Amino acid sequence: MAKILGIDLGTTFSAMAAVQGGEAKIIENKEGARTTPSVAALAKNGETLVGVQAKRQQVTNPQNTISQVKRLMGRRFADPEVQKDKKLLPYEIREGEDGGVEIRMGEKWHKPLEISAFILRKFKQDAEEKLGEKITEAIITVPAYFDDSQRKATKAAGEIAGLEVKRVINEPTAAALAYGFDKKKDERIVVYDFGGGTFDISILEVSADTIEVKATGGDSHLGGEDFDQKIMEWLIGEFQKGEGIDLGKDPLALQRLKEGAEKAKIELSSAMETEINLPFITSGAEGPKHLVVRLTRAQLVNMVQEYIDRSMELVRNTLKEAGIAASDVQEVVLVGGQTRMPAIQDAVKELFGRDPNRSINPDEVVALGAAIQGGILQGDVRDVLLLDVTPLSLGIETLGGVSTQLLLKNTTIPASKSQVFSTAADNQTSVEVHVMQGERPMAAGNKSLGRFVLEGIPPAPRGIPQVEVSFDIDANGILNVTAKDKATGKSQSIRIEGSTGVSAEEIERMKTEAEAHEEEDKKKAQFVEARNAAEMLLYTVEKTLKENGEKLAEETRKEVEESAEALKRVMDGGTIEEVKEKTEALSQLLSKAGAAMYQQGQQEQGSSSGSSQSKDEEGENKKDEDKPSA
Amino acid sequence: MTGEKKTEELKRLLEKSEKEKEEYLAGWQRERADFANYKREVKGQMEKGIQRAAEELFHDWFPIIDNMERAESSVPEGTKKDAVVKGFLQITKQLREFLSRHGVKEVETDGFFDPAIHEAVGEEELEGIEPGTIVKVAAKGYEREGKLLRPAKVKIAK
Repeated sequence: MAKILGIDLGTTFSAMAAVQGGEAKIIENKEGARTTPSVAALAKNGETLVGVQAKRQQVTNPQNTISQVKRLMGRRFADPEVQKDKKLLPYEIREGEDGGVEIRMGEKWHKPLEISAFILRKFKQDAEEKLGEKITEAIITVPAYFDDSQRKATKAAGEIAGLEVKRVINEPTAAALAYGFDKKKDERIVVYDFGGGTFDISILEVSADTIEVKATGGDSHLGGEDFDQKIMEWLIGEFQKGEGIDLGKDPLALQRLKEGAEKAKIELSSAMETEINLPFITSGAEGPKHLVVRLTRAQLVNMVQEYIDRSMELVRNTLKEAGIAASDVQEVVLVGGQTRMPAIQDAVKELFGRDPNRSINPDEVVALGAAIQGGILQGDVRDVLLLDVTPLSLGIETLGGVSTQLLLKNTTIPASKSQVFSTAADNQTSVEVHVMQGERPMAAGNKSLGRFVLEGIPPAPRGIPQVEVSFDIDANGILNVTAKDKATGKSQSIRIEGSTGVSAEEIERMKTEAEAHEEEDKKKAQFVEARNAAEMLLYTVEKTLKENGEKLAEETRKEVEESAEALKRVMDGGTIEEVKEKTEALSQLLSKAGAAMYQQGQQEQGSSSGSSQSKDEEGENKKDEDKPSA
Repeated sequence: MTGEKKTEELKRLLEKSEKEKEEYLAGWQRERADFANYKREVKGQMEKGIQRAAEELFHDWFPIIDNMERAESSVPEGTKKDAVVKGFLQITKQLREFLSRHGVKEVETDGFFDPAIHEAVGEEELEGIEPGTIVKVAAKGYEREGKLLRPAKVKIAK
């Protein structure tokens, strides 16, 4: 089935998305950008340009470069808004025969919807190229305050562009859809949309599958660009103070100032301070001049406080009009790039007493919501097959009481995983597999699900046998754990039902416990790790002494034995540092002894050849530890 | 009678099972296909992600090189032989080499303005020069493997 394109047709920027693989995703334009400037132009060579290319030639062709056409969509020329905008727009507009607005582009006069159609056609073409399929249907979003005529114009623009517009939906509704709030019941949602050039506030009410717009407000001439302008003005002022030169008259310098201002604004959303560093910004009588100024977040907030206050005042007014108290609002959604500013997030949080939703990119959330609406119409976004996840990690107990996890929590099931383990002691003929569930690194803190023993492993030195432990959990949460000795093919298994069937409270408790004990558990696990390393070393030492002990000088042998004893003493009851320290000491002694032995061996070989000792193969099950070792 | 009934019942059950089998098999096949496609897509996305990360890094390099070049063109004629100045100019050269080593090429700026690769930042009325001709490059543009990373910022004749 062909995809339905979700389009956020914005005043300054537009974006498009579609449901792909069950998920709404932004579609990049031909230039590889996720958003497209809402600009169309008739270039000097007669070519029609759309998007970033139109914007790039705006400076040289302002009369024929049409931006912010959304302000004119479906309006009557006599509307006060149009009369106000007429003074600000760099291109020429007039009253059409039907009383609507007409825009001059070159020799021709166009209706605003025709200009929008240029942008929509580009979207259709770019999307077709990216997705490799024909696109004929779209959902387009409009501000909640758009009247019938404005909505009709938007729809017509889509049809001109060759798109059947399945729905024209409200921008705030789309944003709420992107967050999945259509599934909420009887909740009020506030959408705070601070875009590049406009500020919109909407109050929505969700009830039984419908999202209703209760009230709207805003300022059509308040946006992020005002913030950039403020920073630029400040920069020009600072430079004038310091150097006595007015950068406002130098177009090249202005261009760099604009970029610098925007960059600083973005940086101050994450940093507390930034430096605007523009060397060679201009030149004076005595040579080049540089601009370097520091700007703090507090300074920036100070500069733009009036805009933030204004937006919050509009929010309060809208709430009042709707007869809703801030405390009656269950969710707040942030839309528009300017909402990345922490001061704005704080102001919103303060008014509503709750954290606003901002996990979805605020520049893309509306287009994504439109795509989701398309998916709903098509039946794409449907939970046909519900796949469960394991709520807690599943694993086995290994040497020293450590919990080794095989299937991590939140793994989508059905799933399987296997890992090879070995024995912890020489000639160990059986391993016990203890299956457990939980997040704690030490087995004792987790929930035991069951245990079984795999017997009949042929005697071999520790670490040689290969026991494969497989976990297999089916769609119903039934867990099968199998242990198989790779040498003999012998296997043993256990079936555990309801491994996911832990109650919600139990899951929560286990997770909280894991968090609460994180530090302590980590220490314990580290101690076990150090002790396991120490044991490994002691084993090597004993083996070396037994096999080659007589080659060592009595003195060295004694030294090694004493060091080993010292290590054994701290292994139970000592601190992790002590164990590490003694292990290190013993390890060094052993290498020294080894080197001495090697030297001696070489000397012996020089004098009398072939006096190598036969290996002592005497089996000894010296440890009662029968847990597999990882 | 009961035997017939049982056969009927079994027939019905078999039919139902057959139908379910078809449905599940189709669902399974679809799922496998989806997964195969998804894997391919993820691989493509990863490659694209790496590409994008590199591009973003270059993007942050460009203003630094712009400024080095601004410095380069501001060196007074008389001091170009100065050892320190010469050293700095060598650094600029190094920066340019860094980009070219990574396949980043400068955008062509000879001739006429082209919004596909140029961004106009100003205009100038000049005698005897055809309108639309690039008369000054305020900042170089860059491309890599045919993709425009940044348009050249240019001034053109009016």
